[in-house]
Amino acid sequence: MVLNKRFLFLSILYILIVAQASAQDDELPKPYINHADNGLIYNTVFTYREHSFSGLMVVKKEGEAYRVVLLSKLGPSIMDFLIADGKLTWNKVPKGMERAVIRRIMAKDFSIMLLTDLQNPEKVKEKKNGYKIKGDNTIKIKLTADNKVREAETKNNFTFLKTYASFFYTNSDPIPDEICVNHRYIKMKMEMKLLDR
Amino acid sequence: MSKLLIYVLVFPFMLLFQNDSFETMKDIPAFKKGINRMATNTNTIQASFNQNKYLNILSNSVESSGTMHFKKPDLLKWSYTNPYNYAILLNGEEIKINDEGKVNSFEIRNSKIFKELNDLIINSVQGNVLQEERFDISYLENNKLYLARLSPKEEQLKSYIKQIDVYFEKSDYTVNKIQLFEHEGDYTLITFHNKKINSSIPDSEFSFQ
Repeated sequence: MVLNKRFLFLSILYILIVAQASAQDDELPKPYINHADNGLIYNTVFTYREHSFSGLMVVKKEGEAYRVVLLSKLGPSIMDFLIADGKLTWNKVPKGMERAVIRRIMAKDFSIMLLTDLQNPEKVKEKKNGYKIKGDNTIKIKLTADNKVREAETKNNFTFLKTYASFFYTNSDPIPDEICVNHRYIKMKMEMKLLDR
Repeated sequence: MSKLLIYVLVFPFMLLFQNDSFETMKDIPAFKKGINRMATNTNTIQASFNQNKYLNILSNSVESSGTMHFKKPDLLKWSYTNPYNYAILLNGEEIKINDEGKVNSFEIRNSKIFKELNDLIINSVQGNVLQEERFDISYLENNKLYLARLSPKEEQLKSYIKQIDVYFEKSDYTVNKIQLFEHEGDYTLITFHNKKINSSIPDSEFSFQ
């Protein structure tokens, strides 16, 4: 009888744990690019201090990696790279941008902008009003009422370059219509408006 | 009988492909003379254009369109009006960019790449691109168009552009389309429409009010 009770208790506990885990997995938003098989095109403005430059940013998921191509508005591509596991690999790099420090900053910014870490649910912990993603760069994300990412921010203590991204939606579509990536302490900004998908 | 039927069915297509495919230009001096005459007699050009960017990672091209204004000797405005507002103004001394109302200026002489861009665009729309010493040029033609195929010699330009094809109308030697090829197989195609040669364009057209 005692054994039966214990078995019943363990069974209920197991069901509750599985249900909780699957509920969390269902609620965790996916990287928005997963909803765009053909890729996305954003009209993008980069601003560094008083300088600004605009172009078209094409983003597409390629296997487990994320491909980013920046085009000048006159047509030719300016840069082309892959982000995978938080690391950036150049396909085409403008002269002067090959430095490792730039590659690391860009990898961080574009990982946040693309929300690549949401691809790994095992890294994600649910927190009040959102999630915390552990990794090389700890990221905190906040959600909208309909479970889309509203804000993402690096939470590392020992880094000068803190990145935060805001995501704006005009309808129920999971693809953000506007994205703004900004930095604390450095006047460097990236503003993106969805053109096509 | 069956051979005749195949011939009758296939021959029109063969003719079509023959007419559209390009072969080595027969009379290059006459073509250059025609281009020089057009460039000499042209004081202004205005046209609309469609731009299609073909990227191997996208199934559809990235489309944009706008207008182009040129006035001798070196005033050029290149305006994108769809799907965004973006304009580039060249006046020989500086490049001004109007991005959704925000204007930035750069002195052409301070940047080699801007100087090259300025010369390339001005010379392309005016037909003077054939005098460019920075390119190896091959000459082709079909029944409708002349084609000048430019391969950059300089390393810096070569790293961005593999080849530029400039197509000229056989009827009036104006530029019909420009195709910029990159090393990855991607390319940009700019096609001109509604060309108006020597219509009056006020200088105010070449400023951002």
